[in-house]
Amino acid sequence: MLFNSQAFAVFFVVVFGLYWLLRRAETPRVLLLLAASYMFYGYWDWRFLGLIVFSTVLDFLVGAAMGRSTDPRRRKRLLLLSLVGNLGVLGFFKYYNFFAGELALLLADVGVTPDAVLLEIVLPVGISFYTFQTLSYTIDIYRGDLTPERSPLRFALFVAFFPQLVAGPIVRARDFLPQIPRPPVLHASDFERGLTLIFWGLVKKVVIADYLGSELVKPFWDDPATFGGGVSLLAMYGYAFQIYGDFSGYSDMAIGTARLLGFDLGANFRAPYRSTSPSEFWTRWHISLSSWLRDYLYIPLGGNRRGATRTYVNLTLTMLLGGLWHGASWMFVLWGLFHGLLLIGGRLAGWTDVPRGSLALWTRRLVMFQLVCFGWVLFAAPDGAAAWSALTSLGAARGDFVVPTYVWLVFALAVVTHVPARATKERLREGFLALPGFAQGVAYALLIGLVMNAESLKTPFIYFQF
Amino acid sequence: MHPMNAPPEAPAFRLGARQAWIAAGFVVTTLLAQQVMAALGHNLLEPDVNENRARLVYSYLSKPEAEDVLVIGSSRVQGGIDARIVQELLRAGVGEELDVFKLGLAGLRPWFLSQLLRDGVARRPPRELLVIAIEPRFFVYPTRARRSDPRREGVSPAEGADDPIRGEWEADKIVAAFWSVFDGLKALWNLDWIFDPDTRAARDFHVENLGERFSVQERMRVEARQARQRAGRPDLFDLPPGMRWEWSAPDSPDQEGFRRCLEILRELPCDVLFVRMPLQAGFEQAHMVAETQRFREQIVPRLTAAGFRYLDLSAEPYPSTEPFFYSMTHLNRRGCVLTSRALVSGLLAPAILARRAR
Repeated sequence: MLFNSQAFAVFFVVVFGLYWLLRRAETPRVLLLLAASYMFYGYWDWRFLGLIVFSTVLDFLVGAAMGRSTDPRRRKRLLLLSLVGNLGVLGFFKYYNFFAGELALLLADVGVTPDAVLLEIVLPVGISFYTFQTLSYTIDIYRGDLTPERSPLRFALFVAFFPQLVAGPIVRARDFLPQIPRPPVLHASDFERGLTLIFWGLVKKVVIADYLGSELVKPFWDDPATFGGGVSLLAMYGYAFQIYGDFSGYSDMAIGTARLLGFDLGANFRAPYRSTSPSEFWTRWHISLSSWLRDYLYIPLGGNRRGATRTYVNLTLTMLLGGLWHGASWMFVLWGLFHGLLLIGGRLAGWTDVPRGSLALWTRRLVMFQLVCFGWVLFAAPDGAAAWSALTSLGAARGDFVVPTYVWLVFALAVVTHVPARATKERLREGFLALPGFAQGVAYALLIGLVMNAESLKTPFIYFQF
Repeated sequence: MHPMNAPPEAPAFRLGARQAWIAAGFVVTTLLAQQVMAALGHNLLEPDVNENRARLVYSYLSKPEAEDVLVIGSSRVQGGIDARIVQELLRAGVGEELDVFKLGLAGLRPWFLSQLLRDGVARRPPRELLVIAIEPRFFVYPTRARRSDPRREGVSPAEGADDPIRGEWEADKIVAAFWSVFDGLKALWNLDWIFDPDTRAARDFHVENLGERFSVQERMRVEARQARQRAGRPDLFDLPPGMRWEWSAPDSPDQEGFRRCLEILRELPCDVLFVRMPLQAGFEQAHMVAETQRFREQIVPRLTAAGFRYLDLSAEPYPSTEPFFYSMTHLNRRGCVLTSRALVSGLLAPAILARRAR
């Protein structure tokens, strides 16, 4: 069920109404949200609900057993069980064919021709997100940062909470679990802020991302050779804004939807293309994943505590695995490696502070944006040849593709999402929220019209595949 | 203080008059939008025909004047011919600006085509050429008609409708009627209306869905991905077990429709050309061997006997390999560009020049 679908609109209105009717009793309220979450997921493919239930049961039991035990070796074994169980399922569904195929190729190179057993595996949507979420729960308990949740219902809701189940933000148990038993309160300001987030997320997803995707980016990737250099560059920038609009739009809708139900999920994006350095980029892009990788991978590897060389190795390893998290493809690995090297380069170049002066600041931002866009070429390309073809198209004198007027308009809107400073955007938001209620309703109606126009593009969220 | 550290409040749903005003603004704008658009002279569709096909036909019928070249066909034309490229190449080939209009109607069949010709094209024929993309699918239908939805497949009611389908149709109608409340809001955002001076001047035009023109291509992409996931089942022409293609009977609505088409076309003042759109190599062998053979033996000779030129773009040297296709039978952007060029150089430009020479 997509957030930008009519089915979801009806589904959410029903859930919202029932939830606030049941607000006084925790168990029925949690049961409702859990049932709604399973329905939301099952609407896509009910068979994979089993995997969510498996993760839920495994980590709840592991967490409980770990909480009862003081024996370090037993706690380590339990953690290992959680890691093997969760990563085993993730690995099978996401990486089995990739590694089996690559192994077969490797063996073929040395003269052995095994019968590679490749399976027709469908990737369960959202598996990478909820796997990381449940892993953080058991790891936090192992580290002593969290006490195990006693209620299986609350824990199940933590794993399956529908606003963020299939594409994040990846929430931590210590942030989310305490919110479940708290009596929900829907203040008018929270309601309006949630509504604003949902609508703005819809615009980012449906108008910016889907429109740029269908009208500019997809034709480009279908055949970069038909594009002239200038338009190729525009298409690459277009992809940067498409993936931003798609994913941050989803996050905004998830956060807004959760807020209407009385939950706080935290920010997942902060105008990432305003970054002035690679390290700043990762504090603005997919914050919940980058902070997960930092806390559960980079720091345990030693972080920056063991000298420069080890820091660089740790950065590269973390980003390589971060790349692989996105999918079983060497291009994602290459993208991760590129960002690892970028982080190292940023440190070597001393790009640690925000430059002073507007010119230096915007120059750095522009340079950083070009580097990120180069990374997106690796990310979007199905293989090296496609990436090369896209990059060489930058040198083409002129091509057949004519950029439609609407694309320029949408592109301008996309750029505008990043130009104003945070304070300015906050003032704009506050200004909108200060409008009379009727005027806000008019604005929402007009936005719905715009969104419904572009809704027929029926483009799934990019991050669903991860 | 962070909200998590704040002391818990009693459960509460604290919305008030201001939020009611938000809802009121939303509802009033939604309801007024339809009235405003109608007052401005724009046609909005009835809820029960809220389908892409109906929208495109309405868009064609609402055009203020005839075009020079009209291309009619199924979804293969919708995603496989670019009217803008055809127009540009014709300008280069013929030496003058010609107005090209494409009507790619998913699921088109002769029964519907004959009605379109009678009620639309015959009343206001194109000034130079009418191009019709014809295909064997026009003359076959799946034997278990219950599986076929006449609205989506274009199967004439006599062949497809039965009670269960009618039941779904009613449910669809209710859903469509509900969402059609928002049609006025959608229409307000029609960018053609805002930016195109000709459209603005015409005023009485159909408000087209902004995303509609691309939705077919997007659907083809999804279809192609699904097809790839189903190893050995590369196209939607695969029928479920127990079903098979059957050639339409001589007295079927489609054969009757085809006869009517030929009658109408003979009377048109413009030149009429038939094409068959490209297919991926191997498609015919995998899906419609006998039907394609019958098409070549029974339908194509009738076209040529009636004096219409026929160009088969599904044969070499036209696009036939995977890089040019979304699915086995639908071209992608690259295939679309090549086919549009081939159509102009192989058929349209020579036909117009020959017409001028007469």
